[in-house]
Amino acid sequence: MEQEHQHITSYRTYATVLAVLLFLTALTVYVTWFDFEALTIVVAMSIACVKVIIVISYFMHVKHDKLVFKLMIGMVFLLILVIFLILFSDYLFR
Amino acid sequence: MDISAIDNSFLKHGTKYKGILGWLMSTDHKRIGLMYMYAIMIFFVVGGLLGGLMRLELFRPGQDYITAQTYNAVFTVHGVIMIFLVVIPGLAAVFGNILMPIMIGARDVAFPKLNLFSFYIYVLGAILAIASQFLGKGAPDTGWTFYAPYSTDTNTNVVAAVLAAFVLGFSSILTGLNFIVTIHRMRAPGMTWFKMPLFPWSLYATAWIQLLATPIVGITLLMIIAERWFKIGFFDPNLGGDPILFQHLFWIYSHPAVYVMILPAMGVITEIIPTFSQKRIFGYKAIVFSSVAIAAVGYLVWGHHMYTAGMSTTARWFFSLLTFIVAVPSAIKVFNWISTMYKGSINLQPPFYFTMAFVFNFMIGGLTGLVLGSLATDIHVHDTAFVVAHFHYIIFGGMGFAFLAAIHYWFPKIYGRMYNNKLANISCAFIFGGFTLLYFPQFIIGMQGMPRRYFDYLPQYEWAQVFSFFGAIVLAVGVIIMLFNLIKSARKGAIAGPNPWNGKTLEWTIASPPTVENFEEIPVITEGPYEYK
Amino acid sequence: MENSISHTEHRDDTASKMGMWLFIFTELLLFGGLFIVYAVYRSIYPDDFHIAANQLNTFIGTINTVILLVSSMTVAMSVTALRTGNKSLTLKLLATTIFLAFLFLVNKYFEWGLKIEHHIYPGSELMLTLKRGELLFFGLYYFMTALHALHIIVGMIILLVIYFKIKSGRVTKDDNVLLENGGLYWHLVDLIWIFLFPLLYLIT
Ligand SMILES: [Cu+2]
Repeated sequence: MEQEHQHITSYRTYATVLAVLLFLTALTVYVTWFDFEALTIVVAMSIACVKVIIVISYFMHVKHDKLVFKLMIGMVFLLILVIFLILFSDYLFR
Repeated sequence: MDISAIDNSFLKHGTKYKGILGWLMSTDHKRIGLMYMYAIMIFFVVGGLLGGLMRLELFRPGQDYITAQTYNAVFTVHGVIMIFLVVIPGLAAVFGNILMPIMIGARDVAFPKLNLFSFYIYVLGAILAIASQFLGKGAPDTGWTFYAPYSTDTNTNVVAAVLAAFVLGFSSILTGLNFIVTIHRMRAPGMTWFKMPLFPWSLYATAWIQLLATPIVGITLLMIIAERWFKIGFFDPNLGGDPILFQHLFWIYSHPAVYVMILPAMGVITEIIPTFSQKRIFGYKAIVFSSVAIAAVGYLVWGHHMYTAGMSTTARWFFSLLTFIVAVPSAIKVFNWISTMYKGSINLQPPFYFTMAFVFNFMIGGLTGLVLGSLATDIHVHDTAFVVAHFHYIIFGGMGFAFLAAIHYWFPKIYGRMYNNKLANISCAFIFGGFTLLYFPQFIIGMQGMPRRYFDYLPQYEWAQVFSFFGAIVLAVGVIIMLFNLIKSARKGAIAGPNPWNGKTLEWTIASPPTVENFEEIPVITEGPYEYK
Repeated sequence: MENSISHTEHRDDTASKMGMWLFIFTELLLFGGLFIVYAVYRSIYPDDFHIAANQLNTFIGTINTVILLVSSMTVAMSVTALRTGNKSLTLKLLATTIFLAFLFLVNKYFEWGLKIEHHIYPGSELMLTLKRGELLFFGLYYFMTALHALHIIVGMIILLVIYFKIKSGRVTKDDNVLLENGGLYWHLVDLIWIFLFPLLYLIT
């Protein structure tokens, strides 16, 4: 189990990522001035999910990690999603 | 075979310190596993005595020895001790710790210090659980399920008990974390995933459940505490909360917890049957995938504890379907075990007898589980003694018997000595007979309507309670014989030698008891784990 | 493949990192349980949640989001700095991260202070007169942000310990997995806030 090759992300990439994240933050605040009615939560959560994916891929450098990490992370988010779906099969149909 | 193997073993040599500190501060996975085992044995006896106290009270109708309030406290403590201190850490923390690293050809777990740390968190949780009985305004009386809103209203000392469950959950998480990383990173060279023995496989599936289900109950218990202290109203209908949501969150953990108990038990059985049939396991991959499927689907069936609580019909239908699906991989395992024995050269030794008792009990427990899992029949038997009998058949008849099978199977490996075979067989007969006498009648009176958690009952149920009481006595005699046999043999038994059962997995290739380092040289694996000729 | 592995405690960075990720999963599910509670009560009391969320200060929330995002970048950069052997820059970036974390907590202090001044805090008399949904919203608000703030404090302590380990040379260019894991933990704190922010402040 020797040390694997370590991927070094450049400062510039990190700065770009931050710029994108700040833009998305501004966007998510900005869209609250419009009324999407029932879709408000969908829009807000979609932007949040994009931000989370960016943080995980770049800041947490999963993009350059082994496949097993990607599978594990995917599995955990899928699990949380499935729990929500099953739970709401109760609350939405009461 | 001489005594030198024992003198060179981990039993006599610590990693860093000597004497008692050498145990308490040891990062050796085998010593930590043994410390868990002694602690769990003690709590098992305590929990068993509390169970005996309940049986004594139920011996005759009416109030005889303890008050209703005391009875409520006793079944709560019995549940908390047995579930959180005995069966959940049971197989994984004891035999997982002692044997899993050896079976995958490693010298220790991935994070030995973390392993010791989880043991001390366990001890802290145990102290809190015991303290909850004596501190504050009386022992908790909510049952081990802490259902809201009663648990947020009662004046008894719920906070300490809830905190104990939270802390113990944390210990369980860290053990799971350690095992996952160990199995991913420390398998011996050549041991591919599908050359790994099946007990480590079951621990791997279990570890994921421990890791991913326990935090949910953790946060739920914290919410209970916050609600008691700050009147937030999460689960209090007076403040807008929904008590059924508590049940959801609680069972999202506590149903998978059943698999934390039973999956390693199945793993143990899967190790024992090939050894005592001297035959390759039937359907290796089917067993692997059924373990994974049980872990995955088992996570999603929690609602079958709540059919009568007021869930939507859609949800009930859905949970019932999933519950029936999860029965399939369990049944696959039973078929595989039986197919393994078919045309094998069966060696009737104590571990095998315990294993047979396991399979028998597990089938009764599993099939009655389907009665509870189907919507119509569950309404009839919900919250009756039928449920009590069902889960004792799974937890004690299943996990408990697997634990005893595991002790008798790996005892010569752990202590380097052999127990008295005849005495072991006698204790097995007593324990199995007592167990059946104790719990089977509860199925019948449960069907007839005897509610669970009641300290009094109608005279028509008396016959069964009398049977159960004497069953408990027979069971206790069996446990005493077994403990006597094992404790005596650990010190004075005949030297066992490295491989008394002619097993094929890696733990049988090294000295009994193992040295601190387990292996002089890490083996290179070229074939599957159960290659009997 | 060699026949034996010596028992000198060999280093396995992938194992350490995997351990850290597994721990992060448990944290995600811990907060996942809270998000479940939030989602359920929001679906039961959509209007009350709307009214209550309007009373939170979006400005402070946004500022705190920006603070956390920037701190996430600085801690990520510190890993790059350490790996390229620039120790003094690593230390500066870490110090910046810890300072930003502190700033976040100061903001939180004022935000809570404002709410408490208006008698909105768990167990207050005013809270009990609110509509049920509003009561639950503020209960969740306090519980979630308090638990998150606790994670910020733990993260600060972890980063502080790593700071001194780098300073004294126990975490180095070639042995940097501790810093990487500390960074992962800090990003987790950020991840959770990314979900908390719209759910608490922006659903108006
Ligand atoms: Cu269940």
